Amino acid sequence: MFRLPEFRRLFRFGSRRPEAILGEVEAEVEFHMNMRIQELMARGLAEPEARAEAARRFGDVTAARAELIAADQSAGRRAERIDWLVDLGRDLRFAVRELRRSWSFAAVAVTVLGLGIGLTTAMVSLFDRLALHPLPYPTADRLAVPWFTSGTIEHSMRINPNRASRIAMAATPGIVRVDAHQVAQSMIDIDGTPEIVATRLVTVGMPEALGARLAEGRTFLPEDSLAGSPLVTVLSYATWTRRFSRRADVIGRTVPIDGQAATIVGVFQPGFDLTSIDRDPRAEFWLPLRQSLTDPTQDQSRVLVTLAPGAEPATVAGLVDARLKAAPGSGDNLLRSFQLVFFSANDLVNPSLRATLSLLLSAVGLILLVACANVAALLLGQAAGRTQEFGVRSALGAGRGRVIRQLLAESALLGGLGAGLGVGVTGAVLALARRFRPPDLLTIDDVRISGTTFLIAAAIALAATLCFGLAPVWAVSRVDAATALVGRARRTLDSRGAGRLRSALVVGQIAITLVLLLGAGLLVKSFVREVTLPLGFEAAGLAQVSVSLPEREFPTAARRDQMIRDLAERVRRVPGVTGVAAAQNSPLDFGVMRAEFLPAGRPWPAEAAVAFFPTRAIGPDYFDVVGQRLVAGTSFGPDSTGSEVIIDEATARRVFGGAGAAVGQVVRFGRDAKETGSVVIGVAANLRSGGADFAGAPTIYHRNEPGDFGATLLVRSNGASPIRAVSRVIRDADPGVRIRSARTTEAALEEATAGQRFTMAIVAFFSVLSLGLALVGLYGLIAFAVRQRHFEFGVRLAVGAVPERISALVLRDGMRRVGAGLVVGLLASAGLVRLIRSMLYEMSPWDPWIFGGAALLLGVVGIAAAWIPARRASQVDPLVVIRSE
Amino acid sequence: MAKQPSDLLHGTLDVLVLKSLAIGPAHGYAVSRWIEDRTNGVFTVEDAALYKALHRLEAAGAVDSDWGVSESNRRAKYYQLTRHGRTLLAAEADVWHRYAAAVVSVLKAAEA
Repeated sequence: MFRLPEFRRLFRFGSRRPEAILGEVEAEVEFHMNMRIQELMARGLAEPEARAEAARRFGDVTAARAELIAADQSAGRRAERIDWLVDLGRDLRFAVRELRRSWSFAAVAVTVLGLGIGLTTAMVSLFDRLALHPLPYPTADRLAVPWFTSGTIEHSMRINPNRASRIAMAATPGIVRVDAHQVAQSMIDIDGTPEIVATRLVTVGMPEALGARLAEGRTFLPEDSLAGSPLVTVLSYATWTRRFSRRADVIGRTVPIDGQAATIVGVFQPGFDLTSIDRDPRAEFWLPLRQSLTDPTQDQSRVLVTLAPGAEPATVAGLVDARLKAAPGSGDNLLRSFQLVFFSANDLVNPSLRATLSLLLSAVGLILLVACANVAALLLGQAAGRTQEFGVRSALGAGRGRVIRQLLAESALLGGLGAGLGVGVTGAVLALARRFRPPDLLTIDDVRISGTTFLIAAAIALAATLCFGLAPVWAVSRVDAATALVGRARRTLDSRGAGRLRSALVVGQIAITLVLLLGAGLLVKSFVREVTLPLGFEAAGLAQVSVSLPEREFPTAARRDQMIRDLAERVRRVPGVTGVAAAQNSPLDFGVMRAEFLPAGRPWPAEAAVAFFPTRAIGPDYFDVVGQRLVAGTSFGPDSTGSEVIIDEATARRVFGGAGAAVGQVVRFGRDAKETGSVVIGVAANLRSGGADFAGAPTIYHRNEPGDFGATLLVRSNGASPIRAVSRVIRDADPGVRIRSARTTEAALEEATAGQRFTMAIVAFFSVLSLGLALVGLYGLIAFAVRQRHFEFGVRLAVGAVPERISALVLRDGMRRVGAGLVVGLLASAGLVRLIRSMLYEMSPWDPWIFGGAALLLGVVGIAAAWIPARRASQVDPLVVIRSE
Repeated sequence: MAKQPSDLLHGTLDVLVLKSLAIGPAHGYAVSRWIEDRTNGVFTVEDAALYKALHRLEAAGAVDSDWGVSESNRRAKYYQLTRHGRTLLAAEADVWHRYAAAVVSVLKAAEA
């Protein structure tokens, strides 16, 4: 007779109201009554009897009616839910068909979205791990590093806690644990190839306290730290993988570490290290600290304190400090003038890394904005081309809500595909970041795509979908069916707000691109400036080997001084080595002095204030070996004293008017009467290193103190790298000497700039991406506008307009938008300047060349984007166009 | 007609209604007539209860309804089984068969 579903759907008008339901129930009951009465009358009953009998058989009509209505209402709600699902499925199927029809549009939109979402997700993952949760320990928020400091500024001197303070800390309430750790470079010998590797010594129990998990074996036991017990070691996961191919039988094997056989007892899971806190190399072999915290030799250890939950670091540090100063016999000078401060371990993680990541996160957020604006403009253009279709559909009875739903379904489909692609892009970006990570960004290895990341991607996709899905909805809902049907809507649509909206989106894209280009340009220029400035010394052929002389093995200053001299002598005899000098630091590094710089015999400038400036403690032959020119005077001799200094050329010129004039002058480093001053015996060529923080500050060279607990041996050689031979010679000289690091200066230089190069490469990549997106956006906008105005151009050409004038019209249109984008971008760049200032090397962020260059580049790209549609506009065939309208 | 426990009546009535619609779409009056004819008048259903059952089943998604034109050319509300209604009928019928068999076997044992 009929098939219900179609029948039903055709005649349903939205949801049924209560009156409608009541009417239907009445009609149904009435029909039933009539049928029953007819039946009874056919059996011979008179009408009144039949009516009464029918009513009797029906029962309580009023009660039944109420129940029937209630049932119908719940049935109606159910039907609506089903309809909604059916419609959704239909909308999605339709959306798929629609996107396949205009697949090039869909491909561009999905790619743009995928890139935006993927890059954002990757950066959020990186930021979350590297900046927000840099330490993978469960107790990370309660970890603090205690130091004695003389001031509050970051560059002030920091001194490891001494024995008295370690004892005080262990007894202070609010502190759960006090641990010590040390880094070292050790010589290992696996299968007859000696090698220097990073090792770390920790107190027994520290790995467990930090939540370290084991892949194999065990960690350190209390007896492992006893003097005389056999040496044991735990491998890092990377070492186990790289050197031992993850074999389980590695447990029990012995490895010679610094000439002592160490038994491997365990392997850590990946993720456990202290690198994030102190930025020292990742340890390959972990060893137990053999001395207790109360041992004076532990003064060289770094200390890590675990606070009780809820304990305030500053309060606890104050308690310790008070306890220390009250203790009898703590007449230590340190304790009087210095203060014990707890630095939260989370805050110690490389602050410049945080700044870099914030910059990258902002850059990538801008990319996502550009991507969304781009897709919004694409969808808007697409919708404008379909107004006739929407007009037909609404004329056939589709409500505005229905059309909007259809458009939202298409947006959602694009957003979903974009999110899917985005997850792939995220994986690729993280893999790339791991592959090209700067050496000091070790924690990148631990960043993985997680479920959270996927949720982030999905949330961004949803937000983006709504954001660009709304644009066409807004535009379409302003067009009425009749206008659309006659085909006039295309122009109507463009002349109204939609055109302005699309224009604003393109202007926004150009503005954002300008900001990104400026950022990339400034970083590149700063970097080039930094690496092309002369270093001031000869890095090629120079190696730097840093050694420390533990107090236990070398108790007296004379013994330590003798050892350094002996080491220098032995290294000098290594084949290929042409010169050796001992210094406190390598030429790339420096100490920091907090003082005033006051030339004697001249009026002291009133504004002279206590400042921080770089100092270098050096020995004889230093300038010859590192290849730094001595501009005037002489260097230190073997018998030089602490009352002689060498200053840098820039300071000599500024303060004394010239290098020659500076020699023989006396400078004082404070107004204290006890400060007798030092004689300037020489002036050295300027060094590039020093960093933006010390720009313009004088560099002071002074004689390194005999009896330091360590030194950096600077080794000049010709031919192959002497690192290995030098390390062996040092090892053979005395097993008590620890090698802290050994590498060529060029390698150190490379490493020092790796982070910058990484940042620069990423920002440059983002700006190129953004430039491409803006190009596509601008091209799309202009091409669309030209299509809209075909008729107008046709008429103009027909009445004799010159084609070139038409091209110029379109070009001008494009340039107006580019111009507006540039103005907005320049205003927005104030924010960029604030972010990027600290990353620039001795240059102002308001660099006219970079600003001019970026604006010019965008202008040229803008003209290129507008050129093709402009040409097409002038080639419109008036006959074809006018006939088609 | 003897009074029956209402839950049993509900269950019974639902099965009978579903069964009547298994043949094809029908309006409420036709369902009522079909049940009377099939049970030889043993099972006379109060009409209000029948309609309540139909609307309840519709709300549960076991039947679907819409307005059509009856054989006497009047507008009537027709009911039809949904897919869910068919599975429900099979399940309920099964329960009834087993219930009846159990009762019969008990009665036979009592007779013996």
